[in-house]
This record gives sequence, C-alpha cells and structure tokens, in this order.
Amino acid sequence: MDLYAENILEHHRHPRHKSPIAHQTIEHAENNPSCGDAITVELRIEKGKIVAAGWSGSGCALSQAGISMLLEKITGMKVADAEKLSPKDMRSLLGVPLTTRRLQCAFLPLMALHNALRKWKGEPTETWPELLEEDSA
Amino acid sequence: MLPFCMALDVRAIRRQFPFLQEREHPIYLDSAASAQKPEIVLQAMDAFARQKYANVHRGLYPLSEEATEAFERSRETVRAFLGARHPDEIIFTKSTTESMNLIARSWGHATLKKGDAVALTILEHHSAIVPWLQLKEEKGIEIVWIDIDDQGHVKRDELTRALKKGNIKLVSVTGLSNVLGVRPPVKEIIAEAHRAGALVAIDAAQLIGHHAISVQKLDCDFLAFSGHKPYGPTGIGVLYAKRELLRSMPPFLGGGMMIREVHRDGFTAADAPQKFEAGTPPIVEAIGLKAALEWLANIGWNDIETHETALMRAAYETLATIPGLRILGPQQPDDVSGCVSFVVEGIHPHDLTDLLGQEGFCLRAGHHCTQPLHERLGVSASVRLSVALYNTEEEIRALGPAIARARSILSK
Repeated sequence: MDLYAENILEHHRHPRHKSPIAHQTIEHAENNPSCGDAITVELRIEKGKIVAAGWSGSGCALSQAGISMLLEKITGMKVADAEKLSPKDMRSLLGVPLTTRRLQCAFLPLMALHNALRKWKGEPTETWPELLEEDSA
Repeated sequence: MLPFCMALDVRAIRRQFPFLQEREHPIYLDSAASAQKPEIVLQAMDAFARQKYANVHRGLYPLSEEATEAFERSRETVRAFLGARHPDEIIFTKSTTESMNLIARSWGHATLKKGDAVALTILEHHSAIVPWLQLKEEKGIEIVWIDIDDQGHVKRDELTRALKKGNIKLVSVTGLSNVLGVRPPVKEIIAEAHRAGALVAIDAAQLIGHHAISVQKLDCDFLAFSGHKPYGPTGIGVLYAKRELLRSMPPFLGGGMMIREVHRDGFTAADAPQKFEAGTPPIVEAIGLKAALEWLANIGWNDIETHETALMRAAYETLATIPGLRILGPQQPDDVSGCVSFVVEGIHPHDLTDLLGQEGFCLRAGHHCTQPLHERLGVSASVRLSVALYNTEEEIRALGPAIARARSILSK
C-alpha cells in the first residue's frame, strides 16, 4: 500500500507535462529493461536552461508518476543542476519506499532525463549499473 | 499406488512441499517461472551431497564409481521419462536455454549457410529465438516467422507455405506456450516438417511438467527442458537429440570430459553424450532431477491433467469476474494448460502484481521472455497466472477479490 501513496496515484491519474513541446532541442527514449515501461522525454534548452519539458510513454504507475514529478521539478532549471540530480533525489521526489524490483521503474525517468542531456552534449549514455552504483554510494 | 483411478489428493501433495508447510506462505501462482520442490527431491540431493558425493567419470575408487553410477541412473530416468531409445541421446546441460544454444551453436553453426532458413513460431521464448538471431548476424541465415491466430493457435497454413519454399532447415516450436498456455500440435508439425526436409526442435520447458512426452512417438529431432520447472532443481537442463544427429554435430563447449585425446596441436572429441558435457556436470542436481521425474511419473498423467484442468477452469472463472480484464489467447480453459496471461485495462501489470504480491499472491508481470509474442498481441506487458500440482481451486478463487481491490486502488 505504501508504494501507492496519494502523491503517486495523483500524478498517475493526472500526469503533468504529458504532451509534446514546441521547438524541442532534444528528444530521448528510454525503456525499462525488465518490461513494459517506456518514456520519451523532450526538452527545450535555451542558454543552458531547460525552458520546457514534455514526455510521452506508457508503463507502470511508478514510472509514469516519476516522470511527471521529475519534469515538473526540472522545468526552469539550469542544465548543470538537472544533470546533477541523483537517484537519491529521485527517491526524495517519489517519497515512497522502493523495493529492489521496482528500482528500474522508479529510476527510469531519471535515466531518461540524464541520457537526454548526455545526448544533447554528445556524451555516451549512462548504463543501469552506473546509475544503480550512484544509488548505493 | 492403487490400481484403480483415484483423483489427485491435493492435500497429500501439498504436505510433501516444505514451502507449503510454513504457517504463513504466499499463494504461489508462478510455477511457470520455477516450481517449488517436494521434500523427496531436496532429501535426495542432500543425502547425496552429504554421503555419496564425488566427481563423476573421473575416479576409479568405489565412491567415484558409485557417484558415476548414480549420475548415469539419472540419465536413464530422463531417457525413460522422455521415451527416448538410447541414454546417449540424453545430454545434461545447465538449462533449457543452454540446450537451445547448443542446438544453434553446434548443429546450426556446422550445418546452416547463408540463405538457409529457420522457422520460428511467434509464441517462442527468447531462448529459442536469440541464438538464431545471433546466427543470422554471423552467417546471414534467414528467420521465417510463423504467426498465430487470435486464439493463439499456430497458423498451419503459413507453416505449409513457408516449408514449400524449400530453404527451411529447422522448425523450432514450443511444446507448450509459457504465456498463452496453448499446445501446438507438434506431432503433426514434425511430420509435415520432415516431409519438407526440415528438422524440428521442441522447447519442452513448460510441457515437461504438465503432459506426457514420447520423443520417439513425436519423432522430434531435438527436445529441451529444464530441471527446475518439473519440481526439480535449478542448474540442470536436458537436450534430447537423435543419435545420428549427435554423431554428426561438433562439440559445443570444449574442455574436460568431452575429449578422447588432447595434444599440443589438436584434440579428438568423445562420443555423445560426453561430447556435449564439458567440465564437471551438475551432479547433485542430476540426482535431484531423477527424484523429481520419478515423483511425477508416480503420480500419473491422468490425475495430473485432471487436477490442472480443474485449476485452469477455476482461473478462467475467477478472471471473468474482473471488469476490464482481457485474457490473452484461448478464451476457453480446456484449450489451455499450465498458465493463463491477461491484461487489465488502465492498470499496468507491474502495479497489479506488486499490490497482489503485498497481499501474498505470487504472479508474474512483464513480457515473460516473449517480446515478439507481446508485440504480436499488441501489449507491452501482461500478468501471468500459472499452476502446478500443489495449487488448489481455493487459492485461485481468492485471487478474484484481491485483483478487485488492486483495481480500485489503481484505477484512474
């Protein structure tokens, strides 16, 4: 029951930013390797700042609520700050206890954001072992 | 075992499973992923590991000879269980997946060339798909996909048309789908494939624990299964292949046991089955597998099938009570064995099984290692309910209210 706290269910029922944005700078799709969660993130970046963010996709309540909350948070943020968002930040944002099995659902939004920004900078994408290592650090 | 037909005593079966003796245990409906083990299997493995353990085929001292004999008796049990002619047609591997890879890397690699084709049904598990995709990347072989109809049945006319082209060298088909619970008519498929000059490999991972198999009656060329599905241990699998095929196939893994001679500049391989059993085999696991198959054989397929048919009927009835729930594949329980998969409108399988899990129900969510099948079905993931001998109708019916509760929490 705890995993499906009110804030999760609220974002799941009424997701924010779930639409395309005008004049996107970069787009990136990320799928959950265990199954069935897919998120595509669109960002408009101007002068080092994320001025607009949108997403599309389908999946479990946790991943969908997560991307909804995450994009709400990063809209208006400097890229340099958004890049630094960590699994711990994602955990705080979600505010619910996460079992090992659901970590990939919970962190998929973060992975999508990180890799959208890396793609924009021409850097190699982050892998799951790297992201999960950050979580245990 | 009484001489007249008696219905399965499920309570007596359940008493044999330590997992079910705990006062509080989950309702385990994920046996298609892996089955719980009866005491007799655990005891056989434990006793062997404690008192009879030695490496096999390597020592001449009595302990090793006895261990070797015990190991080879396991091979004989598998041979009898599958109705195979010769024990050297039974190869011990690590799993169904390793067995399927053995077919592709040994037979496939040596026999197939660019332009040859392998036919796969859209029902297939990734272990029956990926090794051929790897061979496609390496050698340019073709993969021909055989579709299913809305009930999950393999489209036979498509297979016939595909075979007519003349370049299909192998058909790989599941004996029992791990998602839809459908049972392709493998005997007929094998006969047709053989007439067209193609071999047939059967993925029997699910079939092995639910129905009788006779490889001679089926006349399949290859058949694979894992120990941990028919109530045995993990870490062991079987590949059955016809003697003539094994004779012509090159070794798979190289190392000890599979050789006759090794010199600095070359080696000669042993005969099958050792040719395909490099390294120390899963000895304790083989002992466990023997115990599991003997235990199953002792129960009798009639009783097993009758009980499991009743379970599937209970499953279909229970699932029919949930609004917005759609069963994938066959809409009649009698067309199905072992498992049933479904989707619920507006609710992701992850969330549903997470909530069910919290209430003590073990069901699996995802694509069940069948992404092409899920793509064909138009769903990204499904929930799977699978049954085993130790399940009861009560356990299945209890799922109804639990799914209803999860639905009310999650629905938008």
